[in-house]
Amino acid sequence: MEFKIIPYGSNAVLISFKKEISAEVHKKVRYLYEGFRKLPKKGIIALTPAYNSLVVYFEPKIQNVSGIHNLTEIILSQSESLKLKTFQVVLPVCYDEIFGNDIQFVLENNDLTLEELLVKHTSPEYLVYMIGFVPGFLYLGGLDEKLHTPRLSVPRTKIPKGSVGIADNQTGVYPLETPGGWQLIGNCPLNLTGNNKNSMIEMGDIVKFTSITKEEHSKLLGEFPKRTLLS
Amino acid sequence: MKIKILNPGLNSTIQDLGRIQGLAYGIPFSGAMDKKSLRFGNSILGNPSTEAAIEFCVIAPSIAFNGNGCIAITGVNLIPTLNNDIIPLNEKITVKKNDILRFKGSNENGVYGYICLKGRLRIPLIWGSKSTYVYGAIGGYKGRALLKEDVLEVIKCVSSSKKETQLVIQEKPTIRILKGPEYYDFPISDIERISEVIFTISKNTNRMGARIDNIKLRGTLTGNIISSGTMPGTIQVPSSGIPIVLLSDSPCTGGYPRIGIIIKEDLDQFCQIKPGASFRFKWCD
Repeated sequence: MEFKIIPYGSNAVLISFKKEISAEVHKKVRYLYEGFRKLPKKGIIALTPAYNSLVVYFEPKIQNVSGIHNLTEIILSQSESLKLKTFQVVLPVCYDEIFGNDIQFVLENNDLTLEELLVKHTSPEYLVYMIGFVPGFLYLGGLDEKLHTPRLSVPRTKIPKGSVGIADNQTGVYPLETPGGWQLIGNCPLNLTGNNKNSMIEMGDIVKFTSITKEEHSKLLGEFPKRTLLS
Repeated sequence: MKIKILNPGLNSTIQDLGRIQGLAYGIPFSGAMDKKSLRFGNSILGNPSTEAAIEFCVIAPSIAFNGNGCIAITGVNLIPTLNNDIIPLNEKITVKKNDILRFKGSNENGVYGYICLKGRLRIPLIWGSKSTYVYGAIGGYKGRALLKEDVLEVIKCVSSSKKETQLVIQEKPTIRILKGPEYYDFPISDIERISEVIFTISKNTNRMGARIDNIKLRGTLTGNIISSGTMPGTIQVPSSGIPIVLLSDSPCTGGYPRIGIIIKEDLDQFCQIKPGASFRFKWCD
């Protein structure tokens, strides 16, 4: 069987696919997520998509585990005909050392020049696998292997909002001031937290970073990201 | 009616039953830690059970009223006073202009209290809820805990006749749990021990999660999982072997194996266990 479905608490189920982090497995989660989102009045209350799984919350008076199982099979069997839209979000990042406290370490660790780091970090189209940990925290896939850097051995107690970091094979933006152990290479001035529903980046979106100056950074401070339809 | 905070107490926030529409964006449930007590307070006043109230943690706020209205206080068993006269918990209390609500005593049992106000609290809905998520500065009064001099407004609303029952806060409760998604990855000894040991709640406990003292589980052989959706009540076991129970403000996703989940009916009781107090878990179907 392609997926596993198990009860999780009394009004939710966990649907999981193959245990791997890949765009291929993630696409199935996305088909299912979009499929459930489009179902009108089937007792589905909310969804938490992740790398290879989806939690589906349901209204127990209307829906149950076997009902969700059937819906899952139907959605997946029709997924080939479901056209998923792809949105792109460009996140401006100032890679100045005043924000990127660890940029020298990352350069030395990977034997790179600043120029090379900028190219390698701003070239990929990163896939948003999921959003979690805190509001607006993006789990991105696609970091260039030459940028992989281990986490700090002692995490910082305070990381400024907007910090852009690298941890092993991951890169991302801290949307809030939090403690954290990622190597900081820059700062994104945009507001990624959940106060403005319409600006929220979604799982399945494509993120691109673009390098900006300190002056541009201060001009963009607090603005919300824009999602543009790619295909 | 408007009310003014004279003294904010400890972690006093606006909470209702929480929000569920933002999970896919990393926005947690939030909402009252003891929803049963919140619902009960609202039902005493004839409010809809979804209305928000002031939640406090162990130390209650002092409040001045600048108009006439009604309040009800539920949850943790402190001693409320109105103009220094003791007033009962769990009853409808009429307040008049210039009255002052203060609390006495300390909590023998329980942690969270609710000051419910008759009517609708004038707080904007964020993702369908008035609940405060302090960590993300989302919802409630300016996204934060209440401070001295803050003013809240209550406006009239359609009354509801739904009756709710009181949560009786128990001394050494038995909390029922269901199998979590990774239940079968844990050794049988862990499954057995979790329902045999008498636990205490760690002092290192807040609206995000409760740590459990005096147990160290062996944990799964397979280690951490690929991060996946989580919900309040979930019992996670990190590699330290010390279980963490996720609560209202916990992140919507996590990567630790989930051995079990507290049933909805017992989560309010669990949240009212004082740090240092004991309880047990019991597997159920």
